[in-house]
Amino acid sequence: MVHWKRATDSQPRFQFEQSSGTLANSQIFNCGPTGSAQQADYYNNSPKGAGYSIEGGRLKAGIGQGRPTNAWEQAEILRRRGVPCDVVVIDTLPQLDELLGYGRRPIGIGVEMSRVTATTRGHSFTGWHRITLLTRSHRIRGGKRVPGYTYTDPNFSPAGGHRPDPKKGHRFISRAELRHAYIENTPRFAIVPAHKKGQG
Amino acid sequence: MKPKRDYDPEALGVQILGEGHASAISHNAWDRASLHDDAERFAEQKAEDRKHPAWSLRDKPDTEP
Repeated sequence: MVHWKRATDSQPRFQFEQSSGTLANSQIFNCGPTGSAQQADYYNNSPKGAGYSIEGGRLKAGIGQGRPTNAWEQAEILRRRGVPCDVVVIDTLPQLDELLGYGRRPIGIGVEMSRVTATTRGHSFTGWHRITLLTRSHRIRGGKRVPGYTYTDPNFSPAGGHRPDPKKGHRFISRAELRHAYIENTPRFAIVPAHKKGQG
Repeated sequence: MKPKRDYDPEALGVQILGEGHASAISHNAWDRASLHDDAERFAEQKAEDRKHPAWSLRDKPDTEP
């Protein structure tokens, strides 16, 4: 049996996976259920390649197919997988940093993707979208330490699909860019598990 | 039933929201057509990226709280 110590250890999930239903019903709308599946996979130690069904989570929570999900529905999917959580309004990066920490509490957030650069996004979608922050992290860019966050954007396909994520589900957004995209916008909803893994 | 949390929302200054709030999260309104022209649109967006208000923030060694 596997035990995922950090959220970056468990498998990134993508909404254009086979378990996410059909393209029209509901893959294109499944960023939320995909993120909830990834959070549940981490907490419940799903083996890679055997994670929770994305569309199955939607159905288990009684959510209709073929439409977007909201924060409460995404939280309910996570609860139905045995992970207690809340919908939280996060107003500052220090609050986010305190809750997220270094990999033991992945947090789903809703972001208006037009506020993120295309280079960071890696895709063309600019509407409201759920991503999952996995850990605080940093990159060295131009010789300088740039603090930020490692996250999974579900808006890709698995390897071999129509658009695999070149970053393999571990994308990076700087702290300053996330402040612009998330903290300086509304709403600032987040799907926050009640405890870091191992502290429940 | 309130979940047992390992943090104090009040001390942290965050708001826990109950049921019934409208939410704009997760409106990933892609359609079949956008899948086909996605690469072209993305290339156009990247070409304009330096004009994006967040461009200079990508590599910022941020020290703000």
